[in-house]
Amino acid sequence: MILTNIETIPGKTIVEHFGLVSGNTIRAKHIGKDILAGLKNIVGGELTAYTELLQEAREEAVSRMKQQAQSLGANAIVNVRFSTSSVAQGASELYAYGTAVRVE
Amino acid sequence: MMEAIGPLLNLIIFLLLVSVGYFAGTLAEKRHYQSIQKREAAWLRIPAVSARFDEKLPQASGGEMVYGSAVISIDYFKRILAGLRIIFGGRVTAYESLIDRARREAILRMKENAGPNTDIILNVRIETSSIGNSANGGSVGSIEALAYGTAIRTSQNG
Amino acid sequence: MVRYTPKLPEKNVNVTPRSHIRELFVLLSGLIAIVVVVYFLLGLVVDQLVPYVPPSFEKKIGSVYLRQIEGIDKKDPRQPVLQAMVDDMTEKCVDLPYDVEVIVVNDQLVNAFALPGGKIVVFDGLLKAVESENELAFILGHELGHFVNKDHLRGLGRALVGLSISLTLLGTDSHLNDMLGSSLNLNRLRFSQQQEGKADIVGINSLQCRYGHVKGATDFFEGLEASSSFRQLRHYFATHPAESKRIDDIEEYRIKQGFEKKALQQLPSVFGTPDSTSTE
Repeated sequence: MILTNIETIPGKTIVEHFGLVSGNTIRAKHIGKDILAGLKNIVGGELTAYTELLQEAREEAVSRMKQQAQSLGANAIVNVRFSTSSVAQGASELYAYGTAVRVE
Repeated sequence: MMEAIGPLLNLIIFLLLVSVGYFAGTLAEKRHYQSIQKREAAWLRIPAVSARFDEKLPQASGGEMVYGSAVISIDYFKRILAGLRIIFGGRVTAYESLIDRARREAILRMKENAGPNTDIILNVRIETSSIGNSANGGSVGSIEALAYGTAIRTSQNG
Repeated sequence: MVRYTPKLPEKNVNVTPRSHIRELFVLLSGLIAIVVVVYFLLGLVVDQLVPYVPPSFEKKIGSVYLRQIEGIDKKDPRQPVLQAMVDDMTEKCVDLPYDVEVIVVNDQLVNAFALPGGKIVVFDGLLKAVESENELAFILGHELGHFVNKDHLRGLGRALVGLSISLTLLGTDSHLNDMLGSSLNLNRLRFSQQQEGKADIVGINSLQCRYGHVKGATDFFEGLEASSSFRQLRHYFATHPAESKRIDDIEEYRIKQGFEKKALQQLPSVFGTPDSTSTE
């Protein structure tokens, strides 16, 4: 499965498309890490627990999007976009969407 | 013994809200999904894509920006469940269907707004924001999904 | 234009198929278990810290609560008698780093309680219900026991621990916080059976020390059981085996220590005759 966030896949031709595919997930870290991150907030710097959380969420959203594309018979997704919202405090919500295509 | 009634009443109200939330929420979600699936099948012939497919569209008679949005709220039971899950960490499954429903509904409404004469909706973008929970600082609320794109029509009567 | 193949995905990958009810029960029981363990451990920490709290701080806490009490009768003729009894007991029998003051409240509650920092609040209802000086001395001694063990600080410490846990878990706007916050209210502060038992021991020891025998120690509990005017309380006792266990524990301690039972001492005349009030 090839993913791009541009219109095309260089070196290949899009022959068929299947419309939008999307994957979303919402994840949280346990309260201990939330408290530690709150403390880290005082001195600043990278909140590794939350970086990790966002990475996990992104990976899961992308893998769900890929699953959906696969079930439609696509072999690539072009113009992938990410979107996020703060639906719950302390939880990270990630949405990935793109256009499922078949390339040759 | 008298002073135990206050907290007990609170507990009863809480349990009542949770069970009403569970049954009503489950029913509402089931109905919504049925409606979404039916309409998705009906509007399937109009594709919505996030790409522009950089091509000339000589036969296109017009292009127009179309929108669709939906605000969906979560039921009390799932709110409690999500609150617990956030304490422990991991996948907040209670919210997944909420977000899924809101976005699919927004895309459907966008297609409905574009009308049946549309050939394709290009360059679709989906934005989400949570509203209704900023005032009290609570950890839960409703989600707003907005889908927008450019509807392309080729037929003259569109 | 790129060819479009209309197709719907067979299953929804974005929603995890899982029983939410089951998840709720698993998470809830896990949370309760963790909270119980944390509460217990922090409670032990509180117990370790309590001996180091200075008496002046206890007095400060006590004065906050004293302001909330209504119906204090400063001119009650029984107050000097009670004060003299307490002064005598703190001098000879109970070791306390501060003086204790007795406060009489004009209220028909059959109750007495201790405020942190050396204030014993006695209700009029209780003074009417007691039938001998020994019985009264035991109640006062019991309250002195709470001072000796600093039970208030333990109780308040635990209430604070509970409130902190709930604030951490639920945030600031939760009904549970209001409930836990009211547990900081002294009227709602409940001592554990263990704490009451320890205070009873101080009470019986001070009886022995003051009178040379311990008759009357359990009269208060037994009197409540027998008296017809306290039917509600009697019902409470019947459904509350822990209270009759207290009587048994006191008796057991008495036998172990070899304390005797001799004649009861009459109440001073300012107390009136108890029989006339209990038949109303």
